[in-house]
Amino acid sequence: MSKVITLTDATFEAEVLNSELPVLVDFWAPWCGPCRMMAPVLDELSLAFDGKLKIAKLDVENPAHQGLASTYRIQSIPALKLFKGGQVVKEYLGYREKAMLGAELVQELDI
Amino acid sequence: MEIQYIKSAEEFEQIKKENEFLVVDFFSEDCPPCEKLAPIYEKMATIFPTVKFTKIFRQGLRPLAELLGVSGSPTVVFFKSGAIQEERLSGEIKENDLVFILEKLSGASAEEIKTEDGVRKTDLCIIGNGPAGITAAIYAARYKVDQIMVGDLAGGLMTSSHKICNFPSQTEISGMELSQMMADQVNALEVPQINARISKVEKNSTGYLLETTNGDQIQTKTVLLTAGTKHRHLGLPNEEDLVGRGVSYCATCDGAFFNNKTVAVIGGSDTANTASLYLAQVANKVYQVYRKGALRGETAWIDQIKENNKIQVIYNTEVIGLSGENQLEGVVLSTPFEGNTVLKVDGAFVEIGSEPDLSLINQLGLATDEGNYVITAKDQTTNQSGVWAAGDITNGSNNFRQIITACSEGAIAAQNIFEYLQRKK
Ligand SMILES: Cc1cc2nc3c(=O)[nH]c(=O)nc-3n(C[C@H](O)[C@H](O)[C@H](O)COP(=O)(O)OP(=O)(O)OC[C@H]3O[C@@H](n4cnc5c(N)ncnc54)[C@H](O)[C@@H]3O)c2cc1C
Repeated sequence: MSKVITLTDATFEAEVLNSELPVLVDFWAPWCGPCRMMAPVLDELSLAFDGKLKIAKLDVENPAHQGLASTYRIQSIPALKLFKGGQVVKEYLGYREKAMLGAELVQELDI
Repeated sequence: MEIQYIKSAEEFEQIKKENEFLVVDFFSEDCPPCEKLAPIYEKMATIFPTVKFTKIFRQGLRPLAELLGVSGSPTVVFFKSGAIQEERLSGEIKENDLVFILEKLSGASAEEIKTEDGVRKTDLCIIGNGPAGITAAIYAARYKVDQIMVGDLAGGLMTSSHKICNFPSQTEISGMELSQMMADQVNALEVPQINARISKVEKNSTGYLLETTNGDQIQTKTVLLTAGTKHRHLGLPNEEDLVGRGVSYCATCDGAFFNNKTVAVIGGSDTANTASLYLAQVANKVYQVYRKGALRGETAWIDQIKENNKIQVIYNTEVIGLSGENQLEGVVLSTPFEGNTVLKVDGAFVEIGSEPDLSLINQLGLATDEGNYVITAKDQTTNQSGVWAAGDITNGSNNFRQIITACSEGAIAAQNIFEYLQRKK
């Protein structure tokens, strides 16, 4: 069960930058173990935060996405960036446990 | 509760009206995934007594199936107070997914696996799902030991290995692939698993009460600790601030971001050596900084490093600082290199080994050696009765921490736990 949206370079602007809801973007790649650990955590959080926060992921292995990876200065994955009104307002680097990330998001989003 | 076969649309409407929680399995004949689902579905019917379980032969009630948007078999749809739910399952349906939706639908928890107080009971809980944990689970499954494996990364540390050349049967394989193969095997044996970490341990009269980071509770007679190790950090003041801004602990994860850049690898063991070799494929230049006068580990890797003109090893030197504010700019060396104490790099990969995390070890009351490794006997028992340990976390296998030795310790532990549980019966 998941409401995590899969982003592409073509949908990034509409889904993230122009989104009404805040968006948490997971920059990840299939070769990265901790990214795999992150995935189920984000799946669960996407249900818990449904309607309040959009959770989306961008696969940085895809050559078409490398422009976005460099725009957002990704040097280590998983990298989670929280977007509000098209701007990055917070970033979370490396693996986070569900309870911890959930609590941080609640605080950040003031919900 | 018995599963009801629905034969007509009218019958369906009636049942929908009468039951608050309703599940319908649309099946077909000559459909292997439908046959696979059947016993699971029957089991669910006994676990969730408040839910009405029904089956519809899809080809027999095609218009109804189409009305509900069901176009393949098996498809399971869910109703609450007569309203169809968004969630549905089709194709190869997994027991866990079914349990998940049924729990959500009915608000009840799976009774068979949980007792009234919400605690899952088991004979063996394996903590960790790296090679040691997975191997133990495979053996325990074949001994038909009642078990649960809790871990958050199938394959563990080896997922970060880009090339494994010393695991029998695999001439050359990536850690990710080998992990997937091991995970597939344990999944096929239907070992119950929880994707989380154990955060709390409490000893009691019947064994141990464990709590996961998801809030699940497990009461187990025996524990097998295979939680492995975690990366050692340099311990420099601004290190944590620069993680993800040039400092990394995983070359295979982050190497790709240093395409055509200059990087440093800190360390001289097999992991550091393979990190250098991997990074040399992407980066322009790799400096490997090592505090000793010669690299350790497999000669095969060391020879490749010597032959690779992109890699330069700086011996007898330690990294004593990191320069850069918001972005790593260089590493500070204990001895100047080519006249400079700051070696300018875009990335620094810290590969100075790993060590066990003490929190669970201490909660379980396990004795450790001077390197914090759990002291185990030949049969993988520890100083605590009912607790075994296997893999990188132990001082076993002559301190040779490899996939094959982790697997071996996992196998030995599982066999010994099986015998222990037999004796207790
Ligand atoms: C880059 C690299 C390359 C390597 N290359 C090779 C090689 O070529 N050949 C070789 O034989 N070995 C290699 N190794 C070593 C090998 O990966 C390890 O020896 C092996 O993975 C140890 O297995 P383990 O099951 O004991 O522990 P790990 O693999 O560390 O697994 C431990 C598991 O426990 C989980 N865990 C941790 N804490 C908890 C908790 N509290 N609750 C639940 N779960 C928890 C972790 O998520 C993990 O899944 C390499 C290691 C690295 C880092």
